[in-house]
Amino acid sequence: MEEEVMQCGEENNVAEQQATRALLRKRFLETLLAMNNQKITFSMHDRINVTATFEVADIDILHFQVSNLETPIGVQPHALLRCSDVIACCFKTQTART
Amino acid sequence: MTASESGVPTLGGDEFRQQTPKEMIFFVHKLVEVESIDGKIHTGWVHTIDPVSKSIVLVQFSEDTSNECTVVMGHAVKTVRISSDATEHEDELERLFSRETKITFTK
Repeated sequence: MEEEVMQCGEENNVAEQQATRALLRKRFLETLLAMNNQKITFSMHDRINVTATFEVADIDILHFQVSNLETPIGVQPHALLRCSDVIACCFKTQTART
Repeated sequence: MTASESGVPTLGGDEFRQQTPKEMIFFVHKLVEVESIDGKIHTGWVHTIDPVSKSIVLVQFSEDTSNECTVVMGHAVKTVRISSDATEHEDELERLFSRETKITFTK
């Protein structure tokens, strides 16, 4: 009986963790949608900052596909950035006034 | 979680990346200071933390309607510290990227 109660508690805990995980992930995916077609500044290693128009990210957030990547050696019309090379990315957004 | 001198919890990068979703949601809507591996400090209100890549989405609100949004990649997080427990921008954060329209994803 005690075992059953414990199992039930664990299942509830797993369900709660999954619901929280889904909420956090949903909010992150919404952020990626908001980043689409925005001009983003990427901070890379060695204090290199590049700007590009954000297109898409892959499911595991391992790569970002960008366009018009402005690098110190010129502009790349299309590029794939390895997320492991990116430290942070920054963009402007507007607050929706209701 | 270790308590710093001021009593505010500071998390190291590895400790932060091992957080469970329920521990991660504790940061949402709070003002945090994130130090990245390049030594830069990113301050902002947490919109979300991606449970997959552990990336933190920070928003800095300004007087006018334009805000600055910073995504600090999970692998580049060195320390995370909560600056304020206040959740004064909660409504704005909820509205910021939320979408009313339904999006259909294909398999």
